[in-house]
Amino acid sequence: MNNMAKGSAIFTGLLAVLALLFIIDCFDYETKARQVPLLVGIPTLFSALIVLWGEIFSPKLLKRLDVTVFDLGIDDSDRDEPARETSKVAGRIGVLNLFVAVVGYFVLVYLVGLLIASGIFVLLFLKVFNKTNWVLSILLTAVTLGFIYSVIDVFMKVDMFKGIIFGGIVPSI
Amino acid sequence: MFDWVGLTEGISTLCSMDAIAVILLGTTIGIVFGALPGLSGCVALAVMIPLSYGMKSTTAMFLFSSIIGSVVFGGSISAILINTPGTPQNAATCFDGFPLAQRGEGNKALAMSATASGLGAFFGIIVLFALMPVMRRVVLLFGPSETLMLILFGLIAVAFASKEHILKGLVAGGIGILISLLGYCGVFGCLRFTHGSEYLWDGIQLVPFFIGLFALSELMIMATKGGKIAKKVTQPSGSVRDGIKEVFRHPVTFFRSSALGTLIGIIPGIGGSVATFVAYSVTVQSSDHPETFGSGDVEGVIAPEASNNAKDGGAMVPALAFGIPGNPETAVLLGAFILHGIAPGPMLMREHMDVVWAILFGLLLSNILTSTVGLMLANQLVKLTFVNIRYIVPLVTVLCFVGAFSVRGNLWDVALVVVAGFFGYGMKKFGFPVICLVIGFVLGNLAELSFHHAVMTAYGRYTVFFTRPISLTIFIIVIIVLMLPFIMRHISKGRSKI
Repeated sequence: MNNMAKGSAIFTGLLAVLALLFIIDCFDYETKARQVPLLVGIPTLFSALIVLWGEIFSPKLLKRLDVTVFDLGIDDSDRDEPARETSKVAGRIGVLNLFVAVVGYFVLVYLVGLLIASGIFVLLFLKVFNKTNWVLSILLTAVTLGFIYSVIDVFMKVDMFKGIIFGGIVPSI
Repeated sequence: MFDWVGLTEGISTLCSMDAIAVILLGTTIGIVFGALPGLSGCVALAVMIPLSYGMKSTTAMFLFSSIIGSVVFGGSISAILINTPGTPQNAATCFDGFPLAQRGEGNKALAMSATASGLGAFFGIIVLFALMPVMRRVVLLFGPSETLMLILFGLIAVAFASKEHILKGLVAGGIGILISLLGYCGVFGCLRFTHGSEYLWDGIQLVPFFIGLFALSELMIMATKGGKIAKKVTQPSGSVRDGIKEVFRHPVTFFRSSALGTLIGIIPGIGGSVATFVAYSVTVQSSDHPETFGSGDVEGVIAPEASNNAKDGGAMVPALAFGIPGNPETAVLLGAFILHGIAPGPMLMREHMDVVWAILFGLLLSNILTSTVGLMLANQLVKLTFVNIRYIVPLVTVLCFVGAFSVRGNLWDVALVVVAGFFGYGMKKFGFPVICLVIGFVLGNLAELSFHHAVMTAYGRYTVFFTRPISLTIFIIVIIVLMLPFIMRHISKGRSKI
């Protein structure tokens, strides 16, 4: 089982767990309120388990069940699966780095607010991942901030989140 | 009897400088708000309502209808060029519009979108004119059981038409429906699956969820690959003229999708997203080459774009005739009526025919303007797809965060974008069709509502879905769609043996 297959099995497993959690949760509600979630949840869980079984033990089973209106001898290699491509294009950014960047951006928004965090994110992204020169990085950051400020703050008059450091109020979750 | 006097008055009102200036303003605002992910037509209307206080009611209606008419095309710009639906109605356009942009044919896709949108809107408005005398009967034809069957058809058709694995499509559709059921259940007045979270009371918010699922996940894929959006070519290969021609080359797709859009628009509460997905799935099902959908099929752009603009005319039918909003935009519009001292409802068409004509002409003119602007700018806009992704990723990520936040001003909507982004990335990476999840999510709540309404109105009889003629007909079509692939495989195996 290669890494891709392992990843796919883990993801399918997560979806199966998600469906199972919905089903278990259903029993906390009155009979009619649980009808539709159960009607949808049980076949979803069942399908996810078949996919999981197929991915781990029997990929051929999956292919046999994989009937589509297009399944008339079409070569699977034609399928456009962008994420699976292993392009050697310069400027690629690792998934883990991206994960850190996006989560880091959200944490920054939480701490210092949307406007400042956006500025820091754009500037750092351009400098760290793209190795863009300082002039262009600062120019793009300034344009982005100007755009956000004019659309959100001036035009739409939406109160931009200030960040907890600057007294921003976080709605309860 | 047709109101020729009102029609003449409407035309004379339209010919004033005020009206034209307001329609131009509304069209511009609509395109900008539509193109910015998260800022939907409702947001644009809500922002403009306070500014319309000083206007005459007919002038204000020109403004609102021109926003409604142009916002969807604005949304298709970002859907096609950066795979980010500007409005939820443009989600279906991403499936084939973005692959066209990747092939360097973004200008062609935009031209198709502009042409199909303009003509689709024209179709919807013509139907609106024609249906005015028989509106009530058409609306009443679709009860909850018919709506549920229509939703079931949409879900099954797309799962089976999906280029990915069918079982994965069904799993994704099921998960989409389950996620849509999170939060307050209006039918039974209870909270479900919230686990004590206040944020989840309103359910998963559509705009941030879609922004994450489509935009952020796509940005992650782009960033991991590097290069440009149009990676298969070095310069635009499509042409605006080809895009216009494509719409006329597929008249059946255009008319069918426009008719579906108008019909679904008429049914109150269903909304434009459903119209586009149903039009898309019907087009896939009835195509001779369904395998090309999802990888840049021109009909995959024409169908949703024709339907999502045609539905505006349809949505006006119940809104103007009965005061029942056909979609969120018309709901906001009815709010604007009240602010301008106009009572929505059956009396509107007797007492304020000037307002009705203002809306119709505003819609018509703004669609003509929008399409013209779209066709003029297509060649310039497509250049965006040739900019290096490393510049686009941080800027669009910021736009995603800001767009999600701007809708409700809630920080946790931004967190939802992040979660949905990673979820969408996983789905795309491991072959789960996002389209099925989205359709399940969009239709899930309505499906549950229709299910319970149908059963309740039938005094608890579950056979109601099979005793009403339209409902039964759609159900039979669903069964045929379910059986079709197996029959086709059997036939093809038989042929290969011979």
